[in-house]
Amino acid sequence: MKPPYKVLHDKAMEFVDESKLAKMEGNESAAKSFLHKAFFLEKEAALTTPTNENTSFAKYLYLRSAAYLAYESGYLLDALQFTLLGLAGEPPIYIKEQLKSLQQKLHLKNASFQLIGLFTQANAKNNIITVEDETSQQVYLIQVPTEQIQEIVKNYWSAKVAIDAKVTNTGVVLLEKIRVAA
Amino acid sequence: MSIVERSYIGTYVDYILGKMSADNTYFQPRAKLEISGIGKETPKNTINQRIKVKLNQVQKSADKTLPAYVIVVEFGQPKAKIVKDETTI
Repeated sequence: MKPPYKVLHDKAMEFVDESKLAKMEGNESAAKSFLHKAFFLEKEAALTTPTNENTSFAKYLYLRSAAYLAYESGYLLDALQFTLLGLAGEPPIYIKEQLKSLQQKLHLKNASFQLIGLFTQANAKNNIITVEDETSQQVYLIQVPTEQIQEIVKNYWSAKVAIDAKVTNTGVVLLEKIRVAA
Repeated sequence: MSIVERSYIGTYVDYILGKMSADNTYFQPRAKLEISGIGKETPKNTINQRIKVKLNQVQKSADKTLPAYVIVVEFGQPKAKIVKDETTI
């Protein structure tokens, strides 16, 4: 029986096929929608594939696939996160080359990341805030400095905020600046 | 050896040839496979020209640890050609 992460990956690839077909038929909106669905499934597959001797090749394939799907879907922060997650390990050389190529494209396109969205949750124990990006409706977990979390909750709770963030080489999103969005 | 996995890479899909485990839960990669297609062959767009383009793409990689194969299918007749990238192992 296929493991759950493989089922998710196969379904993601089916959506990629659907996206290509829709594009060939000139239905750009459906093509985009199928690609987004593919990304969310591939993201789950990549993150849940175990890291061991038997599955590491597949895990790096899925991480790279998720990174490219995020890039093509316009989710640049996710694309960078998955790229860095892949590069943080020891991927096969050709996958590493492809991830580095994507990393260069991302840096050319957008050196720093800004999110605008609703500040919806805070986890004081782990110093994490949750922001829902207004464009993509994607939810991002953002690590904030311990000494700032109370003040951030007090000043910005449930407000529409603009956030400058950077991504560590393990894919964690770190807060740099937060302010009320215009 | 058969196709054991495929994954997305920008505008195309990357295929992996290999062998599945007995319980069908993981695979051992044995080779990479590039697949391309031509609707109908013309003097300016032949199978051999497409093979050359695809081999050039494959050979850009510094990774020679997995053998790489290229298949081009022409749907007019139809016919297909498969070649191995000789720069890989």
